[in-house]
Amino acid sequence: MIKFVDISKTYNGVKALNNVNLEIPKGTFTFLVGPTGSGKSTLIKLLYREELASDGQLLVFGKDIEKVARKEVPFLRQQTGVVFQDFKLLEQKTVWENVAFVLEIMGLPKAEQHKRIQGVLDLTHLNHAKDLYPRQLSGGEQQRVSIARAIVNRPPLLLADEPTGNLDPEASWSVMKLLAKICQTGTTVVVSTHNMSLVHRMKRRTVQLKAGEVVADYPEGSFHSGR
Amino acid sequence: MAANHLLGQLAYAFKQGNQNIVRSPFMSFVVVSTMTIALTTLGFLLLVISDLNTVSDQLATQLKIVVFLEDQQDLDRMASDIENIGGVKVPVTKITRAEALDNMSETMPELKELFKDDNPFPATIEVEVDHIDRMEDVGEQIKDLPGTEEVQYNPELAQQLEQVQGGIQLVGSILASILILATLAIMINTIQLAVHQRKQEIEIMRLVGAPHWFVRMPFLLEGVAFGAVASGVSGLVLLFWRLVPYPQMQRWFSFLPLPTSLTPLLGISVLLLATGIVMGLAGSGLSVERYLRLEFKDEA
Repeated sequence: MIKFVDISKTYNGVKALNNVNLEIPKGTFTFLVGPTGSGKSTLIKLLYREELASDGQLLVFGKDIEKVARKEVPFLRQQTGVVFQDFKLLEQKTVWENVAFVLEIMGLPKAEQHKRIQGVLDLTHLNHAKDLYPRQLSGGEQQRVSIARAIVNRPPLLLADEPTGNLDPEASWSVMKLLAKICQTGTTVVVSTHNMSLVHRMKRRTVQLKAGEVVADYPEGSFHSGR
Repeated sequence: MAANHLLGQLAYAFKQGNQNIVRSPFMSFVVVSTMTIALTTLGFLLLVISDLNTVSDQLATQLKIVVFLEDQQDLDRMASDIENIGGVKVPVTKITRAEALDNMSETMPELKELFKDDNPFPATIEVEVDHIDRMEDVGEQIKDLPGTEEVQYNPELAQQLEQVQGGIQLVGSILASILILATLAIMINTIQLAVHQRKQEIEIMRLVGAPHWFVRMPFLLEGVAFGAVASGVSGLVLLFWRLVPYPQMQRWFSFLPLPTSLTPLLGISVLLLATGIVMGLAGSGLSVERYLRLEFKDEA
């Protein structure tokens, strides 16, 4: 489903990614780990076409990202949910409105919107907070809103860039369990993190990056042996 | 289904455009005020140009070509020949020799008795032209007609009036262009502040796959609304000017044939509305494009 072929990315002469080759099958859960500056975020940005590779080929949903026309980019992004460390919620909108925002953009009828939003609020355990504003929520709840917004459109791919970076251990674990639950519905989930204790606990496939290169690729349940 | 989705998206874009205006009242006020001042000034400029053109056209119609005929010429035939020349206002005014004597006698009654048996005044034809710039050409053609004794007109005055009209239009166009460009520059920078306030919203829209037009639409609608409101206010200011202070001015300058009709105001108001909407669209469009290019490296 996702295939990186000799992907390199250079920023002002500095290589952020160097000859990355990686395959991520459909419906799987993959961690990207590595120290700051190892290229995790760049890899994620390439997947939702916020950045373009300097070299190589990246196939997402069978399409060569490089060759996707500018006007097709919104369509590509509608098939990709993205979750960020800083949540990126709209402060002047309630939880419900933040989630509905995506569906408004899609132009979905109100009844369909209502059904979908109710479904994701149930999944993320946010029903009690649907009329609250982001500032009235804890960090963990805000990140769950951000996840709800990312999946309400039912995208086949969910990307999370350091989703637990601002959360306490309990909230982090709750977010990870939620992402795993979403993966069980058939969504491909890619999570970048430097929280190793969570990665160990989750026992999922783990791709290790260092200085822009893939240095190890641990299959499910084997990361602890590779430390 | 797709049409339903598009309608939903449009409705949301309208709602967002409206919210933008309400959420940033100061910015909206600055943009609408700037546009109103510019459009009102432009409206005055156009009104003055229109009025000056009317005055100069009025003055021009008072300029006549006076044609004196040779003795024994058939006045009707000559009048008919002159009316066939392109640019001549039909009918021309025919003055027989007897009428010429009568006219002169009104100011000098003794002439009537003096020339009772031998009237020296030639038959005359007074000719008006459709447009001032045809005067010289028409005058020359009349001179070439057989039976013409003398042709009198003032080509220099006609040319000067024509130059004045051209000058007014040139200066007016330059001033209007400067005015529009300066207003656009102010609008672009002011609206850019509003776009910046919504940076996070725009970023999220892009990330969740909002089409390019959807991100820009609320700002464009906002621009159209600004343009429409500003041109409406400008139209009202011009109407007030025409109905209240202008009649007083007409009384002060009663020696000038100042136009009284409201018709030019209607045309100018429509032009201001179109200019306002185009300026609003261009200002918002350029502003949001520039911002998206700088902040998000979006290709225009």
